[in-house]
Amino acid sequence: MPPPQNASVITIQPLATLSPPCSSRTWQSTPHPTLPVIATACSDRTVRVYSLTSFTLLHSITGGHKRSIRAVSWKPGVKGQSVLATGSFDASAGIWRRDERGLAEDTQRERAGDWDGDEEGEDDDYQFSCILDGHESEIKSLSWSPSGQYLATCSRDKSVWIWEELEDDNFETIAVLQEHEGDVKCVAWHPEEDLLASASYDDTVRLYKEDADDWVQVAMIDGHKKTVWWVEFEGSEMSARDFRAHREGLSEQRAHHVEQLERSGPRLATSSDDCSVRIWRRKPREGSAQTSSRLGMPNIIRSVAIDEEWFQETILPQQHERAIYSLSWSRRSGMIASAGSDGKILVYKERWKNVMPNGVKADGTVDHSDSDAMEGVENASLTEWVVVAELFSAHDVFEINHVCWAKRSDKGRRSEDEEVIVSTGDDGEVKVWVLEER
Amino acid sequence: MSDIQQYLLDYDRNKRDASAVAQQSATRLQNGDLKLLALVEELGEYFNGEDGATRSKTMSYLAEVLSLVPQRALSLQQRNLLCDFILSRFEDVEGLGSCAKGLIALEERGKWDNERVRAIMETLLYHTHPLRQYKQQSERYPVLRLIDTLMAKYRDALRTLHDTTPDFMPRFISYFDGEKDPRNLMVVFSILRVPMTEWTIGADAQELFDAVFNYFPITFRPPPDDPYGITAQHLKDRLRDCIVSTPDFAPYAYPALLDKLDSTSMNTKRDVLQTITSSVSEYGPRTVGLYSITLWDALKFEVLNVQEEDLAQEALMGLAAIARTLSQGTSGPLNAYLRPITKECNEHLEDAPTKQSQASARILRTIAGVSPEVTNLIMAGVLPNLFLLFQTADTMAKKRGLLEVLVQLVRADIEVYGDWRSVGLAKEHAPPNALAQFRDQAVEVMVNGLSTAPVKEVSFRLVCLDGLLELSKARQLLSDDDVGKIIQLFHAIVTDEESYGKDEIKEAAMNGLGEIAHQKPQVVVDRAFPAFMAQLPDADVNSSKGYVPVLEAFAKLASEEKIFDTVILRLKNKFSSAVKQNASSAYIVALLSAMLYALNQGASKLEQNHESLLYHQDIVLPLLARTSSVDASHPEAFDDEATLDLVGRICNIIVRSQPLDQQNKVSAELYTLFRETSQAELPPFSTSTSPEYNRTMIVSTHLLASFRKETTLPCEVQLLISSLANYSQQPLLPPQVWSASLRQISLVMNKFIATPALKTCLDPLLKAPIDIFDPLRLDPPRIRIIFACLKGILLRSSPILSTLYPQLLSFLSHPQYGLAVAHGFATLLQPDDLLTKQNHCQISGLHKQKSFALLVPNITQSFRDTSLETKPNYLIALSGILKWTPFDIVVEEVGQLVPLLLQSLDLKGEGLVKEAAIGTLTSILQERPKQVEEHAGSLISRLLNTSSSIPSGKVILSSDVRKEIPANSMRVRATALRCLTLVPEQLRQEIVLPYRGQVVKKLTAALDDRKREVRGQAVKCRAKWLAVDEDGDED
Amino acid sequence: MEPDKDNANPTILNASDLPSRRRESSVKQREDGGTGLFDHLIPHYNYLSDPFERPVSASDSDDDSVEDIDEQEIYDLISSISDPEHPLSLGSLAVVNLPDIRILPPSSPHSTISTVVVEITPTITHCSLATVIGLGVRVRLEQALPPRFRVDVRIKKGTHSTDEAVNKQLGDKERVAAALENGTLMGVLRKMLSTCE
Repeated sequence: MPPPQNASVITIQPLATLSPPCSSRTWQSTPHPTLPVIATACSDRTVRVYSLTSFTLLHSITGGHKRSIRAVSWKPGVKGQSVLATGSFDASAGIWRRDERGLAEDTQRERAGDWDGDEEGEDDDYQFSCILDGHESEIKSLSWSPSGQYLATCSRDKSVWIWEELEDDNFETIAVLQEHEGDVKCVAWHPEEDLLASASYDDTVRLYKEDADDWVQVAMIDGHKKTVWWVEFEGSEMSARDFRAHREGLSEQRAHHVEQLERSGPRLATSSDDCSVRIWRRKPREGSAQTSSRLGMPNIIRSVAIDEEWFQETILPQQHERAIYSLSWSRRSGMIASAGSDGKILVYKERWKNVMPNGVKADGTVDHSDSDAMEGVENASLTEWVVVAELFSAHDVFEINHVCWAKRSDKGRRSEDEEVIVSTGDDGEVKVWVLEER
Repeated sequence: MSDIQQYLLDYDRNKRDASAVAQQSATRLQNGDLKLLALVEELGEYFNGEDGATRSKTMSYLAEVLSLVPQRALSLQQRNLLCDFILSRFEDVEGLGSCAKGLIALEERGKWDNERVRAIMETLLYHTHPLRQYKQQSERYPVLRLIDTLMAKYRDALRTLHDTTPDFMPRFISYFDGEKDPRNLMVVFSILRVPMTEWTIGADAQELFDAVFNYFPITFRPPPDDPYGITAQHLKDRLRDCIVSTPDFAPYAYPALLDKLDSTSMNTKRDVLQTITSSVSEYGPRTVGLYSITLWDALKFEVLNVQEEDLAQEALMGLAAIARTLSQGTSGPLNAYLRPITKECNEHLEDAPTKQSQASARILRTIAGVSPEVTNLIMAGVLPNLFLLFQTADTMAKKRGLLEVLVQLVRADIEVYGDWRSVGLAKEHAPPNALAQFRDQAVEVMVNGLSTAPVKEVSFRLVCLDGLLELSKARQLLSDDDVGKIIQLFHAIVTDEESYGKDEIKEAAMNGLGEIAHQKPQVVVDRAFPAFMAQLPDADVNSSKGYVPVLEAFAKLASEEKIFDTVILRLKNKFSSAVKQNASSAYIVALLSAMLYALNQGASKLEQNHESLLYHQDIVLPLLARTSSVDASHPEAFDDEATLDLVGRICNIIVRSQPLDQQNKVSAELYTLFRETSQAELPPFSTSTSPEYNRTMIVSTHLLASFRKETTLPCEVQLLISSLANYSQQPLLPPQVWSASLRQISLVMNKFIATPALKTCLDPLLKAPIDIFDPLRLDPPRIRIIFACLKGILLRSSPILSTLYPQLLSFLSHPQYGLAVAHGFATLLQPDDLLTKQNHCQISGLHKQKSFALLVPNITQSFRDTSLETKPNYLIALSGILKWTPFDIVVEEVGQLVPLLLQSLDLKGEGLVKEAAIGTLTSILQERPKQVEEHAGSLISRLLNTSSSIPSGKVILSSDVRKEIPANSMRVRATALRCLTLVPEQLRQEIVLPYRGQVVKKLTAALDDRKREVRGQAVKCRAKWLAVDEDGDED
Repeated sequence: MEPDKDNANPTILNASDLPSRRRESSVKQREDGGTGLFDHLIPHYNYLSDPFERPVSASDSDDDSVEDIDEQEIYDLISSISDPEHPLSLGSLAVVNLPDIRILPPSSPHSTISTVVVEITPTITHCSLATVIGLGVRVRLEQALPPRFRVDVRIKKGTHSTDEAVNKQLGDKERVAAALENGTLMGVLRKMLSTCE
C-alpha cells in the first residue's frame, strides 16, 4: 500500500515481521534497554522475547499469569542479567530474571539459525522470580523509573501503585495513588526526576512526586475530551539532538524559546480516544525554584513548592480517524510516532515555524496551540509539528495497539544510532519498519 | 444332631445349607416322621436361651420350615397353636422379622378369623411400636409385608378395629414414623392408602396426611446397582396416590403444596404441579370448588412469568384440570373459578401484545378446551371485552395481539365442538356453541383486517387469515355463504395480490383454500372454481402471463381428493379449448404443466384405478393423437422437446395404472403413436428420420416407462435393444432425444427381460458388430450406452454385474476416456425419475449394497496400483458412487476410504467430486468420528483450504479477500464449512484444541466471502470453534 | 430470580414483522408472477450430469456476483441474540432495529477499514443489563464479521439513563478484551449467543 502524497517527506518501509507471530492479539512490545532484544506482551498469557538482529523468537515466557499479559517493562541499569516486569489482566505483576552471561551463546545459536524458541526449564531461560499482588482488577500498564529504583503499576481499579525494590525480589508498596476516577490506562516516568505521570479513562493525566516520603499528586492535566490511552515524557536533553540542536543565528525570540524549553525540562506527550496527540509543558519555576527542588531542599509549605503547572503546548496534526492507543517519542531524533485503531502509523517532526521579522506568521501553517494554554501561545507558535510520514494498513486491516522506536541492530543497519519503528497489532504480529528519505 | 442344631450351625456358615435343613424338616413334618409338637418342644431350649442371636435364628428356622410345609400338612388347630406361639414371641426383641415371616407363612396356609387378625394387629401395635426401634431393614420389612397382607385381605376386620378402638388410628399412624428405607416406604405408602381411601378418618385426617407428606418431595437417588430397581418415580407415584387419595386431605394438602411451590428447585415445583393436577381430578368438584381460586392465584404465575417452559405446561394442565373437575359439578363453583381468570386475562389483554397478553391467551385457550360449558363461559367472559379493546386499539400491533387471542379461542372451540368433518369431545348433545353469537363480529373484523390492512402488516393479516380459516372450519358455525366469502377473499389474495416479502400471506391463503376444500369441498368448487376459470383465458390474446399464478393455485387444490377430479376435468377442458383457439405455446405449456402437477397430487388416487380409464380416453389418447398428427390438431407447442416431455409424463401417470390389456393396446402403438406410418420407418428402428419423428421418442419413452413388465412390446427384445443402441449413437440428435433413447435401453434392461434371458439378451451389445466393451472403439456415445444398460441391470442386482463391472472399471485407466468414464459413475446409483416402482420396475432392495460391494473395494485397491495421472479418475469414480450410497452401506469400508476422500479434496476443479467427498466425510464425522481422529490435522487444513476463496498456499491481505475469484464453487465452500463445523462437535476436545487458534484465524477469510450463504456457514463454524476450550475460569 | 426483573412484561414484536431478506427460494421477480411451482415437474436429466457435458450444477455461475455485507446481514447476525432476562430475541424485543444499523465505508481510498455502527434500544431506560446486551452485540459482531470492520455499539440517544457511561465502556477495547476473559460474564454471553444461527 503506497503512502499518500501528503506533507510527508519520508516513507515507512517494512523491514521485518518478527516470527513466528502470536496466533492471537499482541498488546505491547518493549525494547531491551541495552541488548538487541524486544519483549512482546501477548493475550495468550505469554511474553515473547524476539531478537532484533535476526527477528526470530528467542524465548517464550509462559506460566505465571492466568490472564492476558497486557504490559511489559525492562528494568534499566542492571548488570549481568535482564529483569522484566509483566502486568496482566489477572491483576498481578510478575518479575522475571535471566542471567545474561548466556547472551553470547544466544547470538551464536541465532547465526546458526537453528534457534528453537522455547526450551522449557533451560537455565538460560527467563526464570520467574516473584509476583506482585495488590491490585483489585486488571493491570493495564507498568513502568520502571529511570533509576530502576521504583516500579509503577496501574489498573482498572483506578489506582496507581509505586513499588520499591529493597533488595532482589523484595518489593515494598510505597504508594497507592487513588486520584483517578476511572481505569488508569498508562504510567510513565520523567527521565530525570522521580516524577510519575498516569493517564486515565477519566480523560485526565495526573503527575505525582514524593513529598516528605509521601507520594502526592502535583499536577492534573485536563484537556483531552475522551480516554487518554498513552502518556510519555520527552527524552532527556533533547534540545541537543532535535531541531534546536544548532543554535547559531537563532533569532532573539527563538533563542529565548529554546531556553524556556530547557527550563521546563522534558515535555509530556499524550494520545487519546479523542483522536488527538497533545504536547504538554511544565511552567518553568521563577528563579532557582526548579533547581532547588531538584536538589531536594526541604520545603516548608508543600503546595507552593511541589505543585507543578503543566499547560498544553500544542496539538499534533490530527490525521488519525479512531482512537490513538500509543505514541513514542524518539530519544534520538525527537520525532513522534503514533498508531491506533485506524491501523495507521504516523510520524511527526517538530520544526521552526518560519515567521516574518515582525513576528507575524508568513505562511498559512495551522497553529494547533489551544487558547486555553495561555502562557504557551507566544512561544508555541514559534515551532510547529508536521506529519513527515504516514502509513496505512500497517497491520493489514487490524488495529495497532502499540508503537515504539528502537535501535536498529540487524545487518542492514546504516548507522550506529539508526532507529526503527516497532508496531504491535491485533493480528498477533510485531512488525519492524525503517524510515526511508524520499 | 437334630435339625435345629444343624440349622444353627449352618446358619452362619452357609445360608443355603441352613435352608436345606429347614426343607428337610418340612418334608419330615409332611410325611409324619416328625411331629409338630416334637419340633416345637425341641426349639424350646433355644428360645429360652440367653443368646438373642440364637433365639432369632431359631425363630427364623421355624418360619422357614412353616413356609416350606405344604398347605394341608398343618391342621387348623396346629396353625392356631403356632400363631399363638409366635405371637407370644413378639415380646422378644430378637427375631421380629422371622416372627412376621412365620405368620405370613401361616396365613398363606389358611385364612384367619377376625379375632386373630385383631389380635395380631394389636400385638404388633403394642409390643413392637414404633417399628423404627428395629434397626435392621430386614427385620422391619417382613412386618410391613405382614400388615400389608392384613390390609389387603382383612379390611373389614381392621376397619372395625379402627371404628371400635378410639386410640387405634394415632398409634397405627405413628407406628411407621421415621421409616427411611425405600423398599419399606413403598409398602408403608400402600398400607396407609387403605385407611385414606376406605375408612372414615375424620379427626385423624391431618395426622394421616402429615405421615405421608413428610416425605414430600421425594429426593431419592437409587444406588447404581440397586437390586430392587426401586426408582424415585416409583416412590413419587405411590406418595402422590396417597396425597390425592381423599378429599379430606385438601385442607392440609393445598396450603402445604402451594408453600412448596415457592421452592427454587425446578424438580420440586414440577412435583408439586403434577400432584396438584392429579389431586384436583381426584378430590372431585365439591372440594376443588373451595380451593379453585387459591390455586389459580398460585398457578398463574408459572404461566405469566415462565421460568421453565415445561413448568408452564404443568401449570396450564393444572388450571385446565380444575376447570374440568368443576364442570362436572354445579355451575356455581365453575363460574366462581372462571370469573377471576377472565377478569385478569382481560386486564392483560389491554396492553397486548406483551409477554403476559400472550400468556393470557395460552391460559384461556387451554382452559376453554376443557368442556363446552367452560368454552361458553370463557367466550362470554372475554370476547365482548376483546372486541371492545379491538375497536379502540390504536396500533396494528395491539390489534394483532388481540386477534391472536381470538384465534386461540376459536381453536379451543373447535377442539370442543369439532369441525365440519368430525365431532369434538363435546359429542353431539352439547349446549349451543357460544361462539355463534360472536360469529358475525369476528368474521367482519377479520375479513376487514385482511382485505383493508396494508400489505406490509404481514403478521396482522396473517392472524386475520388464520382466524378466518379457523372460523370456517368450526363445526356448523358459518353458513356456506360466509365460507364462500372467505374463500373468495383467499382466492383474491392468491391470484391478484402483489407479492410482498416472504409472501407468507399468499402462501397461507393458498394452504387455507386447501384446508377449506378439505372441510367444505363443494363450497370451494362452487365459489372458487368459477373465479379461477374466469381468470383463465381460453386463448391468451395479450401475452400477459397473468394466468400462471392462477394455474398454480388451482393445480394445488388437486391435492384435496374430494375435488381432484373436478380440477383435472376443468384443466382438461381449458386445455382443449386453448388448443382450438390456438393459444400461445407458453399458455399451452402452462396448462399442461398444471395438469401434470394436479395429476401428481392425485397420483395415489389414480393407483386405485377407477376413473383413470376415463382419463385414458379423455386425456391420453387425444394427447397422443395431437403428438403424432401433422394437421391443425397438432399445436406447434408440441414441436418442442420440453412440451413433449410434459405430454409423455401426463400419459405415463395415467397409463401406468391401466390394466394389462389397455397397456397392450398402447404398447402396440408405442412408436407409431397411432400414426399410419409403419413402425419400421420410425425411430428407433430407422435412423434416417425427420426431427418431428425423432422428437416423439420422448413420448414413447414415458409410455414404455408406464408399462407393466408383462406388457407385450411392439417388437422382439434383442431387435429393440440393438436398434436403440444404434439409434442413440447418431450424431446431431437433440440431447433430450438421445437421452430418451438411452433411458429406453435402461427400461428394457430392467423390465422386459426375464432373469434367465438376461445374458443372451445382452449379446447383441456384447458381441460384434456392437461389441460395446471393445476398448479400442470406446467413445462417448458407447460409454453412454454402457452406463444406460448398467443402470437398468444394477437395479435388479443381477449376477451379471460381477462380469460387467470389472470391464467398466478397467476403463478408468483408459488414456483418452478414463476421465469421462470416471464421471459416468455418478450416474449409476443416482435416483432416476423413470426407473421407479410406480413404473413397475424391478428394484432390488439390496442393489446399492451389491454395486457398492462390487465396485468400491476394487477401486480403493486399483487406486494404490494405478499411475499418478489416472489416480484422479478413481477418486472421481469413487465419489460418484459414494454420492448416492446410504452411509450404513459405506460404513464398513470407512477405514480405507478416509485417505482417498481427503485426497479428492486436493483435485483441481471437480466441484461435484469434492462435494460428494465432503458429504461422505460429514457422515463419517457424524456416525464414526473415531475413524477420522488420526486424520484430524489433514482433514481440518483441507476443509479450511476448500472453504476459502483463496487458492491454498496463496497469501493475500484480508482486505483483498473479496476481490479473489474463488478457487472452489460456492456450494463446495459452504459444504466444506458445514463439515468443518462438525469437527469440534464430533471429535474429542484434546484432539481439536491444538487447531483452534489456526482455524479461528483462518476462518476470518471465509467471514469475508463474496457469498452470503458461505459467510453464514463461516459464522456458525467459527462460533463452534471459538467455543472449544472456553474454560469458564473462576471468578 | 424471576420477580426482580428490570422489565417483567416487555412488548413483543411478531416474527413476521421483523425485517428479513427474502429467501433465495422465493425470489418473486419472476416475470410470470408465479412461484415456480411447475419448474421441477421435469427433473434435470441425467445428461446434465453426463460424462461429457461438463457438470453445470456445481460450478454455480452466480459466484462471480458479489453479495456485499449490508445492514440486513448485520441485523440478522444480532437480532437472534437472546435477551439476558427473557427467553426472547433482541429483534423481537426491538432492542436492535434495522434502521439503527449503519455501515460506514472506508474514509479514504488508502484505508480498507469500514465501520459498523449499531445503536441499541433498551426495553426500559433504567435497564441494568444494557451494558451486557451491548457487550453481547459487540462480541457477536467481532466474532462474525471480517476484521476489516470496526464495530461501534452504542445505546440509542435518550433511551437510557446512563447511556454516555455505557457507551464509553462498550467503546473501550481494553475493557471488552478483559471482560471476555471473565468466566462468569462469558457464561452469560455464551447463553445469550447460544440462540444465534
